[in-house]
Amino acid sequence: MIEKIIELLSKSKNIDGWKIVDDVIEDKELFFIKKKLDMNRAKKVRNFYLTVYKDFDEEGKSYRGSAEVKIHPTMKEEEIKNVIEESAYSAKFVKNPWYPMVKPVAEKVDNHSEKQVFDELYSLAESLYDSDVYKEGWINSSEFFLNHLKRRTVNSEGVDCSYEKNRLFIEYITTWKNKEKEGAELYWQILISRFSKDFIKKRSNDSLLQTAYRANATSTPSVGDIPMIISGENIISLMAMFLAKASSRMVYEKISTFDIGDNVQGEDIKGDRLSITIDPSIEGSYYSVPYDKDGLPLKKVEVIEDGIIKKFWGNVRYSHYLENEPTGSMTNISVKTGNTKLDELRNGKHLEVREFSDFQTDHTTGDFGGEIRMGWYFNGEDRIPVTGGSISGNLNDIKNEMLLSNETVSMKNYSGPFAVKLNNIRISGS
Amino acid sequence: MKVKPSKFIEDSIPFVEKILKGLERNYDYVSVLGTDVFGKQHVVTSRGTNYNDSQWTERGFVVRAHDGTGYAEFSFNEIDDPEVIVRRINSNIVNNDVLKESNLERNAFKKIEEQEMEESFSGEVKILPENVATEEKLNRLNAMKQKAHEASDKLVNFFAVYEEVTVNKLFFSNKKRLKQSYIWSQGYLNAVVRKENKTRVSYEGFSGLKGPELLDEMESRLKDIVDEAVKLLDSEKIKPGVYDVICSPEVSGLVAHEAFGHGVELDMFVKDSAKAKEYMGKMVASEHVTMHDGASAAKEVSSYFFDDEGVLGKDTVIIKNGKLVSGIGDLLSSMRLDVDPTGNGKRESFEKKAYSRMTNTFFEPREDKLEDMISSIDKGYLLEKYTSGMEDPKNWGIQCVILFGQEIKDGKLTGKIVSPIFMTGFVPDLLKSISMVSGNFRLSGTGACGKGHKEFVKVSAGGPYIKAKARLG
Repeated sequence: MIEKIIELLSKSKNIDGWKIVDDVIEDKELFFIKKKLDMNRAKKVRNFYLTVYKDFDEEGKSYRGSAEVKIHPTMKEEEIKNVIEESAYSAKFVKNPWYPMVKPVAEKVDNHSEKQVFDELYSLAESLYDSDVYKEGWINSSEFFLNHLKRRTVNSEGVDCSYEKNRLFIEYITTWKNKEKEGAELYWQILISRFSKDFIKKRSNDSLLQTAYRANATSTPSVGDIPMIISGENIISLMAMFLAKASSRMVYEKISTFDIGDNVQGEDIKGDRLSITIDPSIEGSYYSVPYDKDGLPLKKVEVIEDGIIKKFWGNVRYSHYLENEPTGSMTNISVKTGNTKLDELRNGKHLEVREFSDFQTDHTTGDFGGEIRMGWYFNGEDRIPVTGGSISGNLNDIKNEMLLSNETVSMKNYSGPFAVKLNNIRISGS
Repeated sequence: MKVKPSKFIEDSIPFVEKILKGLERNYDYVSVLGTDVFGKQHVVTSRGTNYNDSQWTERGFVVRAHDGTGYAEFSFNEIDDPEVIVRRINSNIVNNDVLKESNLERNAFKKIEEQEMEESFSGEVKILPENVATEEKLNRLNAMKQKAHEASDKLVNFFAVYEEVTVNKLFFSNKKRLKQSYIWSQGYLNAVVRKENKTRVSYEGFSGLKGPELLDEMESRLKDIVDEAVKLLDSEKIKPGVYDVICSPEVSGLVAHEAFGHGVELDMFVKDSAKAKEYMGKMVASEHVTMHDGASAAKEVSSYFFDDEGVLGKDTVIIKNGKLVSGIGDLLSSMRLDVDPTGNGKRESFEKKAYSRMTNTFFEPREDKLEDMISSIDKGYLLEKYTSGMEDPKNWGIQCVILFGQEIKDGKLTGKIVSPIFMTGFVPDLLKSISMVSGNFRLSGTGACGKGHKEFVKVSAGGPYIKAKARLG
């Protein structure tokens, strides 16, 4: 069908360029309640994401309008033709400064193509339950989505690239009952593209043990102004806030005020200096891909080094606006570890939060925070599991006093320190 | 004007009938949901414009079949020979050899029993989206941006977003033949302001079973949003503590949604993941509180004729004068719990599973006046607008991130603003503390609601102003 769309595009006299992302996704899904299969699903869908470009000049300036539409495989020729012409017409009113499209590259890109591995799903599901051996705690429900993505990106400049990728997303809820038989639950996700049963088993065991802490936690006391540690998954969102300062879209839209050479941590840095890399090929990451959606081959790029912005990152459009070489859009981030061991970070009174109800970050204002679902309060003598209450802060108040752990973790789209210690956080007890 | 039914849906009927016939030979219950959802999103910022299909665009089918033990589903969007689809469904989901060899234990479900029903529904809007040209819609958004910049030199970016969506669905099963077509739209105005190195944002959302007439509402609120953002530049941080609060209709809607909406989704009852299950028939809120959810309970973005499992939309009273009286459920969870389904089985799209989901969720208004509510508070806050919410149905925890609060001292607004605010706490404590409920009433259906951190669907929420006691930080 893609040939038909290309043929119709090449016949249209009203467009100056086009791009098609052709996605074929097949997946198998299993839904469990405790250890019993509650439903199984499968899907096979194909979607064509078409962008039509229209160039025009006004008062001596060049503009490039565009319209992004979805072509369904059930569309007949006449309907596709109408979609193309309507898009070309509407693109005339989308008045953006001109920018180029991605052009083909001569160098060979390893696209890491993978064949489908659906039959593994059942044994991968069993590996999550291998740790479900405790009397007081169990996996209460789980959902498995094993999918195979086949993506091809083609554009009117001659780009034609593709890759195939297997990905596994597991969502599960763990429950633990304390001595009073009160149950507590925690929510977890695993997103991977290298399927290790040992890894899944270890993660689910860790999740169950964290839930035991949550079930036996006391209410977070009013602790006043003490340092806090964010450990585990939520460190990703915090680091992403710094990376956003160097996003070409955020800079172009004047949401970020930073320039190349600026220090995102300000002056008088008392803690660790941040070094953040965007990396399209973190081993096992759900989000590792060889090309972005424009068809640009992706490479590892150091964006922030010792706090200083070395390069803006972004797609071809916004990079062109800022007169930078495009890095492409990618999701994976890698952060350099700090010099302090986790045990040392945990010295002195502090609050450590491992799980929030929903850790919220605002890349525009720098505000962040969330309700504490599971953490520990160290009063100088005892490390007490706590729950409830909330923390809130702003990037401007914490940026120059952060200590990163020496211990690392790889999860979701992230590889880097396991924990970060912060000051100037408002902690509200429950 | 009446919403026209989708040609794709109409043309698909013979194909769907053949699939049903092909599968009915082997399965005692079969249904097909067909969708054709299309629309456009128009985005104007201070430095650019985007025009694209709505993120809610979808066109495809999902088949559900009962094989004597349980249910399985197959989603697809290519129309092949119906016999090929039938074979694919057999091999992929029901007669799946690998599944059989795995020896996984399965939950048993009864067969869905339905009444014969053949109905179709067409919604109405003042103006159909196709009757206003893209150029005019983008011009009006551009004019809003222009006026916003004239209103303040502190504005560094302004986002004006208008999105219109036409929903067409078909649900055919052994006994049901249902079709529906309706339109909803939503819009956002976001003002980003800056003073020295402090950046603040204010916004307002607009939504409804409306077409481009929504643009009129957006234009009328422009200056207020910019003024509000500028005031936020002087906002202070709140001192953590427990305060008397008044929640605006938007914030009270968030409380209804997070506090008891998610907590009474019946699939959570099936999993023993909701504390509310132990409290059916008991007081969970003050006697001032009556709370509804339902596709037919209001006219907003989640008002439909039938849900994604072919159950007609209803108006469910969840809390009646403080007492928890009902949950809201999808069809399979309701069967498991032996209660009537409430028309709350929703899918993110035809590609996804149906879960128990909220529709339009709100507290009923009463007679109190906002002025009296303010004057009754010695020290507290009027909480306005929100940025997010999250619930913990098992432990009845709630997190609401509020955009700002106006300080109330000695029964008067002082003009001092705090921002942002994290409102947290134990749900029954919060709901039992509700002491006054106003007569004003508003619903809002912008954004999307997730189950956990995925499965996003359109919902609306709202209500009157409510006075309560809450922990703020």
